[in-house]
Amino acid sequence: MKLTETQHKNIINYLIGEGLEYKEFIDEMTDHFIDSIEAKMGEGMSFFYALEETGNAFKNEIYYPFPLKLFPRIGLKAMEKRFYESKKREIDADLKVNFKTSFFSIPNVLVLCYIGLVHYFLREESSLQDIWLIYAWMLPSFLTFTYLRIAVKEPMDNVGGIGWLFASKQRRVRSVHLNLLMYVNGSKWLGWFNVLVIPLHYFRKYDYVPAYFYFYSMLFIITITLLVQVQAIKMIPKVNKLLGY
Amino acid sequence: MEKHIKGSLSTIVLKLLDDNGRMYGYEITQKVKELTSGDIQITEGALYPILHKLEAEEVLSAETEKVDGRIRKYYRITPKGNATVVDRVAELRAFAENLNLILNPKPLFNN
Repeated sequence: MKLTETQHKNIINYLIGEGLEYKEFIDEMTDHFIDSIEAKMGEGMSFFYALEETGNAFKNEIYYPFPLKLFPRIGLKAMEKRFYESKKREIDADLKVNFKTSFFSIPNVLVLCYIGLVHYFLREESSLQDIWLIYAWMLPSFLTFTYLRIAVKEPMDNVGGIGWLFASKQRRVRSVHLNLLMYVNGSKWLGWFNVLVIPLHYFRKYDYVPAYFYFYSMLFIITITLLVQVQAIKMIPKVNKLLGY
Repeated sequence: MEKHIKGSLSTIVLKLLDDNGRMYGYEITQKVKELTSGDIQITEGALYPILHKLEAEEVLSAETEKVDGRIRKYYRITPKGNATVVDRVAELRAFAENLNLILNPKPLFNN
C-alpha cells in the first residue's frame, strides 16, 4: 500500500520529534519507516499504529556519549549519535596522521609566514589597541568556512550559530557532511577561542598581564587556528568520500 | 534465537551483501526473514549500527539513489571488504561445525 504525501511528512515529523537532527540519517530512516509501514498497512494495520510499531523496534538502543553514563541517548537518537561518532572517529584518525606526516608541507610553511606577518604587527605596543588586528587570526577561518559552505552545495535552510538554540526542531536539521567539514575546519570549536582572546586583549590593554604573556598567547592561538585551517582544506576529499559525495 | 545471533550478525549481513551485490537496510531484514522462514529476525536497532560500523571501517561502501521520491541508501562490499567476508564466513562456518559436534556428539563405541 503506497503512502500519501501527508503520511510521508508525518514520518519525517515523527523522526524529528524523536530528536534526530542529521539529514543523512533521517533520509535512511525515512526510507526504512516507509517500507516497514507500507508492509504493515498491507496486513491491515492503520498508519499511526504501524508508525508506532516501527518506531518501537528502535526503543531498546542506548548510547552513552559521556563518561559515567551521563546524559544517555535512547532509541533512534542513540543510533544517530553512534552513526555520527563513527564518521567523526574516521576523520579524527586522519587528522592525527595528517598532522604528523605533513607538518612541514608548503601550506604549513605559508601559514607560518602569515603568523610571522601578524607577529610583525603585534610587536608594536600601539597596535595592541587595534582589535581588528587581533581578529586577523580569524580571517582564514572565515574564508575556509565560506569556501566549505559553497563547496558542499547544500540547501542552507538550516539554522546555525546561536540561532540554533532558539530554532524549531525542523529547522535544526543539518547534514553530517557539512557538520564534519565544519568540525575539521574548526568552525565548530575555534570560535571558543574568542572567549580567551577578548579578555586577553583587555587584560593587556589595562596592563593586567605582561606584554610577553599576551604576545605568546596570541601567537599560540594564531598558530593553532591556522594549522587547523590547512588541515581542513586537505581533509575535504576525505570527508566527501566518507559521506559518499 | 536473538541472543545467539548477536555475535554473528555482521557476518550474516556481509554474506547477504556478498551474494546479492547491493542491498538497503529494510531489504536485508526481509531477506533474512525470508531465507530462514521467519526463524531469524534481525532487529532494526541492531542492523543499522552494524551497517554504519562496517561502512566506517570501509568494509562496506554506501550509495544513495532516489526511489519513489525518497532517498534510499544502498550498501555494497568494497574490494577491501572482500577478504573480510571470506575470513568471517569461514570463521562462522567452523564455529557452526564445532557447535554441531558438541550438540550431537558421536557415540564412542558403535555396536
